[in-house]
Amino acid sequence: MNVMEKLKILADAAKYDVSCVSSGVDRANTAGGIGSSASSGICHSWTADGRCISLLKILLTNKCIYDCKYCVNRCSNDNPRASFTPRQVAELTIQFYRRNYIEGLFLSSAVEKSPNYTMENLCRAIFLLRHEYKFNGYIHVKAIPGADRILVYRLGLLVDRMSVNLELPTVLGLQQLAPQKTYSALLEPMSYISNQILAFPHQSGRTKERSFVPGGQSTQFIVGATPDSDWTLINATQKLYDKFNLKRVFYSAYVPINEDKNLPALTNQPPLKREHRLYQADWLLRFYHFRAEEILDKANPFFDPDFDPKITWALRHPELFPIEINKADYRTLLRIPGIGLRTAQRIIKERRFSMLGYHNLKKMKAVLKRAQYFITCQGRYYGDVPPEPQYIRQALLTPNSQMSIWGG
Amino acid sequence: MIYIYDGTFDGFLTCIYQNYYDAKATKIYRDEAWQMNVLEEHLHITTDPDKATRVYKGLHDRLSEKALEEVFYAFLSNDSDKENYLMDFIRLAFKVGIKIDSMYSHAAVLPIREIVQRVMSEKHRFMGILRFKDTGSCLYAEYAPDHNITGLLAPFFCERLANERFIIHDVRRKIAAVYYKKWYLTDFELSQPLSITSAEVEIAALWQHYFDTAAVESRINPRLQRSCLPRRYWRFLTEMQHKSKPYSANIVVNDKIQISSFS
Ligand code: SF4
Repeated sequence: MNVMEKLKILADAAKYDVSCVSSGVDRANTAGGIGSSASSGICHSWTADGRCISLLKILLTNKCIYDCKYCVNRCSNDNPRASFTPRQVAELTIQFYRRNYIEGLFLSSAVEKSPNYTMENLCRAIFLLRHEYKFNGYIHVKAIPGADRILVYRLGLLVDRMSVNLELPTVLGLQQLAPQKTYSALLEPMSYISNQILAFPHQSGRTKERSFVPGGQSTQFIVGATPDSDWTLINATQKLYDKFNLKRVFYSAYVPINEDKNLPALTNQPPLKREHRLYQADWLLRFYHFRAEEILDKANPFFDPDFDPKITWALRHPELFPIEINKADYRTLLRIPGIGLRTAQRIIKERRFSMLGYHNLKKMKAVLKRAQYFITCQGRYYGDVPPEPQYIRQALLTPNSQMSIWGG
Repeated sequence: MIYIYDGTFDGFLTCIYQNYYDAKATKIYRDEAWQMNVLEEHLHITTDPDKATRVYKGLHDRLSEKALEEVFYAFLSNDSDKENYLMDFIRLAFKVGIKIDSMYSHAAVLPIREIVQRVMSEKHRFMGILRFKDTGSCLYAEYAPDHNITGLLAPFFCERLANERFIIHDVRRKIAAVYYKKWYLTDFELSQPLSITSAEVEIAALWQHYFDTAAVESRINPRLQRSCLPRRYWRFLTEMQHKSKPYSANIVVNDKIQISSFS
């Protein structure tokens, strides 16, 4: 089988994994080497479904000994199968990289023969890239649960990011859909990787030195393959950030590929809206100092389809608003709908020189359409409806028909 | 007084100099952008490297590195009014010095920041979407950016592709960054059809194929794709060549031809 035929099979099988951004590592090229890593993610193209292509995302092999229900590669499926040689992976990566098609490699794999066999081949491919081709670009590899620690360790010294995909947030889901996997087997390499990362000296700034998985660890959940609620997912996410220091948790709206009594029907559309809301909530956890239990709880286990999680939170807490932008501290500013990280930083910087008015906010790229209902500037409220949840809700849903509420 | 200059950075700095020692400039235009208006007095400014250097030094001493970079980036933009925004910015900068860095919403600062943002984001975009072809003797990339960013892009690729030889060709401005161990900017046009290797054809086909496979069918969304990657960039992209009219009219596949300037 030639490389083109293999690529057809092994790129197609890899595309449902979405954990594919190349940020977080800033590394200079080394003498005689090729490649660097830019800490601000670089997109190289956008696919027809509007997703950014940054890494060459392929499987080393799609031959699998397991039979996870939701997966295209499960052994009970009658698919064409192929495996790249480690050399082919390295060569393809370098040739794509030289032409600036890609930012690096995301190498994942099904489990061929045994976890160790597969993991050894992953190591070989990455070793070739780093040592023979002197590749300094970004590499993300999937660790194979069940493989020896020494292999995880050796691979960890070569790559920028490693991930173990949990896919499902509950033990029950795993039992039904991936009966050969157990939670403890998935969490074991995760905790090992996170301990190793902590054991290595922390590096910051642009460096040529290698440490253990400098870009951090990530994982992925499938959304909508099981009846698990958004609350379950976001709560699991929080725990992973707390416990394993994960860099990112990714969510992938489940695309029905296989028929199974435990899976949604093949005609189901992937729940893209849910996926989007999960990312918004995840953003609040990572950058806005929110906790999972503030965003959702047992009584409200699903996201509001009409409002993003930050607005939903704000509407549930009218006692905290409106917030005076000239006084509030940074973390409080971050809680205002329509005010992002950049805007909050600017507010802090600029109000040292003069009191800020509503017009200043406009120039600082605050989204006033939303922020107007949650702030005061020098004591004055600028919203076009009274600052109460029921009015705000209305106004946000029907942006043009609010004037009458003031009785005008 | 309206100032007319030759479009070079030195020329522009000469205008700034003149403006302090001569009749104050009301507007500054490049000679090709200026539309003769008999009612307004105008002055043709001759570029003077000494005066330019003095203004540059003044800026260097008074401004932070960030603000200095902003002046330069804004100058590389294609905004037809950039000189006038820059003049306001520089006048303010000489007055307030490094304080200008935190004056986000000042009327003389905001337009510059916006222009700079556009230039930077185009630079960042092309860090990703510039495409090289292997000619057998060097890597060659052609593109037509809105802003004059070739000189900003070159250092990034010099590091990344340190062991290669490459040319980044801005076909709109007919200039190129040429790299072999060191890089320089030069006027540039292809004098003969571009020749590429047969390996190049193969790799490009692999990439094109990879690109088509990567989309998940049930999520296809052409509008989203176009908003992320506007159509005007497609003609230079290897993966889009079959979907839009490619830019390179004739490419010859030849494994032997060497580009002579690279001996
Ligand atoms: S082990 Fe991985 S590749 Fe194999 S069936 Fe399960 S999810 Fe698919």
